[in-house]
Amino acid sequence: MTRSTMKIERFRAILDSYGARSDAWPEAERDAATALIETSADAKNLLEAGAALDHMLDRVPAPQPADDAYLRRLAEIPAISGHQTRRAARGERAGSDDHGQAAVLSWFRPTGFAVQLTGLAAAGILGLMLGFSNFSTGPESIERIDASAYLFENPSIVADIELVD
Amino acid sequence: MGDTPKKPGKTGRASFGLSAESDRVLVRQVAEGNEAAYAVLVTRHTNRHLAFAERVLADRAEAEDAVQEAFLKLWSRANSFDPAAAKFTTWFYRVVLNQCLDCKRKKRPESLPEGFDGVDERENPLGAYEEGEIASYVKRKLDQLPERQRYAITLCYYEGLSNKEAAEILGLGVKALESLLTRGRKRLKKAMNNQIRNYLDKS
Repeated sequence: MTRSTMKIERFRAILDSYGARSDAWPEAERDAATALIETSADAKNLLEAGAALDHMLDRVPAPQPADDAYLRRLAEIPAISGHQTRRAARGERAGSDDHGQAAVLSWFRPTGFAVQLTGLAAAGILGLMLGFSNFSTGPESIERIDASAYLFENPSIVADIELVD
Repeated sequence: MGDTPKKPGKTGRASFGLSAESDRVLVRQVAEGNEAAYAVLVTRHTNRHLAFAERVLADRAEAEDAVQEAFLKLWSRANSFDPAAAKFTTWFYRVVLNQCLDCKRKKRPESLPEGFDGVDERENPLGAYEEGEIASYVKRKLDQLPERQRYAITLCYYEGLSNKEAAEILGLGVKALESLLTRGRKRLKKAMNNQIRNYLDKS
């Protein structure tokens, strides 16, 4: 049995910081700490007391792994942000367009997607209403009809509205 | 890889030969626009970083958003990874942590409940809780720690990173990290004093 070079105070400090699991201890001090446990009853007692908090921490379950749908969403980022691929080919990666990234992300988010669908649906209804009203009001409503059609063709406007929030 | 983005289904087949490559090689290829290399990194690192983000944010949906933004950053700014300065995992933990901090900044700060780190005075607190409740009780105590103490414990205890890696991710020296860990664990011990005593009596 070799005598440890570690003092009990340092061992206590290691337990206070890293807990009782030896694999969590600083690598450079692991052997000395293990040797101290073999030779010192005080160190053994400290180790037992230190393990109690670890036992409590271990009760917290590990977060669930990612589901397939989420992994697919992550894997599709390059395909959806195709403009960045083209910039990459031209060596223009650094300082990419944050607004463009945010717009791409808003399409990925279930909430963002729902908001955009709702926006598109609202624009569609508005277009229909304006279309019907056009029969009775005559040609002066053409600008409003054009605006709803513009929203239809430019869903990113709806995404921008969401980003402001 | 040319200008035309690949369809998602193609990355699986293309990544077959890349799965044995190191992170460092893959990130270099991602910087050149290689989607298959990116897909391998997604498969390899998502769960680990998602778990970390969930522990930092204490919210699954926000954690998913943070990791998604981190992967978008990886795809668009892989050039900013310097393999001479850090391991990929260390760098990516920092990217994820920064996304988590951004997310927290956007949220209104929540005030802590009164007596959040007080001792549970019930005679037999462990017995008073069902197994699932013990887990949520401990998780609540963890979530109520000051942020940097919680990050330090998460990285060293739950993520199993070395003290040097954890210190690097948090932008600290090893001594400062140890101080955070010590204060965090002391606070937890105080908050769960009765439960710990109960455990020690039984063992």
